[in-house]
This record gives sequence, structure tokens and C-alpha cells, in this order.
Amino acid sequence: MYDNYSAALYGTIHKIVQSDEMAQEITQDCFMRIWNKFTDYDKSKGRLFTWMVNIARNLAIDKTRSKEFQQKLKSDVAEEHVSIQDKDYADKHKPEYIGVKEMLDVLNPEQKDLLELMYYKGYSQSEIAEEFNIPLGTVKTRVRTAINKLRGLF
Amino acid sequence: MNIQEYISSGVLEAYVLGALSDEENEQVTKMVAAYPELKKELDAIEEAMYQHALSNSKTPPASLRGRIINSIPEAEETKVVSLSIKKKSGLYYLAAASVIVALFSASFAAYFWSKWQQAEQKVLAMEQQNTAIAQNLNLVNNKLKQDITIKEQSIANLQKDLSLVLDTTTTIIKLNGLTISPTASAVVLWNKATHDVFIDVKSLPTPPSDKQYQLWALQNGKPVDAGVFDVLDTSYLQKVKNIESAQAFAVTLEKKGGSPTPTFDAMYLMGKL
Repeated sequence: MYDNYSAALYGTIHKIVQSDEMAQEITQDCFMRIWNKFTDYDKSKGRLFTWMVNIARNLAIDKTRSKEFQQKLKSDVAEEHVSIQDKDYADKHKPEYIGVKEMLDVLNPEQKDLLELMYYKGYSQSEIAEEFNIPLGTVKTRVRTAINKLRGLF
Repeated sequence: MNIQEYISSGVLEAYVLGALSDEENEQVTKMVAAYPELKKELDAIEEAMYQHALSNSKTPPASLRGRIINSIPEAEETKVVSLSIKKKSGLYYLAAASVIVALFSASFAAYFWSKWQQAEQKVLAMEQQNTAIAQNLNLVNNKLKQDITIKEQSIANLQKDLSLVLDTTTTIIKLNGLTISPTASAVVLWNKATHDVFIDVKSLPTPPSDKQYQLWALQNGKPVDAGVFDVLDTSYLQKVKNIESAQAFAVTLEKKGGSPTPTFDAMYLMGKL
């Protein structure tokens, strides 16, 4: 299982915490969690990977909200870790920082932001709606459109 | 529910991204189970996110693998041990309790079974006793009934005899022993109105089996047959033949069934009116 999924999970975690050290720590926690909670996995609720990656994301996002992470963030180069409240957030990010090039190619900045905030920052849809002052229904359909575009890719 | 509308609402995407509440998650799970179309759509979204993650893959340092593999058995062990202790204690008490309960119920069952068997045997014995007693009682009852019948008969006979004796038209003639048997005696009751004749043997020698005593009435010196009688039953008056008139009665020993004329050599009793 480690061999099959570690790269995908580590990649996701790393993208969230932006640190090798933390990403490794969280990946280890993640596999422990997966191991201990494996009986909780319900095949009827979805794929194994979806379940695992959500565990990974939750652990990583929790980490980014911890004091430890916030302190580390302050000591790091500020430029790289823009506050998520920053309105110019999306524009300031370099393409490789955001992630996949293909994603950039197919998604417009709006969609990109949306997935970024939801998937890697752990924003809820209503938080995003509030943040960008758009209706919740619109957030939902935009997320759908974005993922639909991703589907076209693979 | 319009499936297409449901799909385009973006709820499945939110589901895959883990952006729904527990309640909403549960609802989506139910919907997906109910509609194959939704299942297909969900699968496509999951695949997309999987591919997305794969394209973001970053191989962790080789050392991480060892660290995780090593930490898991440890975690597993402590977890399993604590679990097994917990389970063991619970199961142990449960098992111990059930064994005790089983033993108790088994011994109770055995005890009551033997009690029941004893009771059964006792009941059987008592039933047999009852039957025996009932049979005995029946026997006694029957015997008593017979006795009573006999007594009643004898009383009836005695009453008849008594009424005969008390009847004013009855003449009682005492027959005395002659030279052959001086101690013999008998009484003849003769009702002059009805002409009934009865004899009550007081004492007569038992006759040989081929002979019988015969009573004669003497009418003007001529013997008239008054019938044979036995000496076996001396309790009651024996009715013999009717006699219209007589001056005396005599008893002779004759051949069985009686003779037309008396054998004077074998005259035992004689009595005059």
C-alpha cells in the first residue's frame, strides 16, 4: 500500500505544508491513521484513494492551522507564504507552486483558486462564497466545472 | 429527483473533496447507492482527483518508507495488546459467567430430573397400591353383598318358617325315634287349610348315598307317600308333598327317589297327632 500510494499522498501533503520535514512527518502520521482506522473504510462510500487522500489532506491542513506551523511560517520567507486572506493571493503564486502545469492550462484563474482553496487550504464552500462574495450555489457549480475540466485531461 | 440536476449541483464534487457535513455525506452515500448514474459520475470525479493527485506525485525520501513500516507494527502491537486485554477481560468474565450459569443449570436440571423420576415411581407405586386396594375392597364388598343376600334369604326363610309356625291352622307333630335309632327326632308342620307339609329334621343318621328318607302320612292305617327329603340341610323346614288328612306321620329309609310303599323294617321315626 505504501508503495502504491505514498508518492501521490506525499505529493498532496507536501503541496499543502510546503515543507519536506513536515510532509514526511505528516505522511507517517497519515499511514498510521490509515492503518489504525482501516476498518472504518466503507467501500460503498467511495474509492480507497479518495478516503486516504482525504485523511492526508485533513492531517496536513490541520497542521497548517497549528501554532507550530504558523510560527514556522513567520520565520520563513514571507513572500512564499502569502496569507490566504490576501486578495491577490492567486496572482502572486508562481505556476510550479500551485502545482500541475496541465491544471493551469485548462483552468482559468478563478477555477484554479477555487480548487486551491478547497483542496489544499481546506476552505469550505461557504467560506469561499463569503470570501469572494459569490453565492454558494455558484461556488458549487464552479467547483464542478473545474473538476469537469480536469476529467477532460486524463 | 432529477438526477441530472443533482449531478450539476456540484454536490458529488464537494463529496469527493470532503467538503460536506456528515449529514450531507450520508445523504450522498444513499443517493449514490440508489442511482447507478450517480455512481458512474462519482467514479469519474474520483478518477479525475486520483489522476490529479498522481500528477502531483512527489516521491518521498527512501528513509520514510522504513520509518513508517517500522512504526506500524509497533503501533499495531500496542493497539492490539490493549485491545486484546480489553476484549480478553470482557470475554473472560462473560465466558466464566456463562460456564458457571451452564454448570448451575445442568446440576439443577439433573437434580430436578432425579426428583421427578422419584416422584414418578412413587406415583406409579401408589397407583398400583390403589388398584390393589380397590380390588380388595371390591372383593370385600362382593362378599359382604353375598353374605347379606344369604342372610336376607335366611331371614326371609326364617320369617316364612315363623309365620308358618305361628299360623293357627298349622299343626306341629313331633316325630320320635323308634328302635332302629332311638335318639333320632324330627318335627312335621302340617297346615290343615292349605295341606302344605314341612319337615324339620332335628336328628337322623346320615343315609347311604343310594338311599333317602321318605315321609309317610297314615290315613286310617294306610300309609300315603308324603315325599322324600334330605338331612343335609337341617336349618330350614323342607317342603314335602301335600297331605289332605292324616292321623300320624312316619319316616322310613327307602331307595333314592322314594318307594310306593314303606319298608316297615326301616322305619326311623313315628309321631301321632
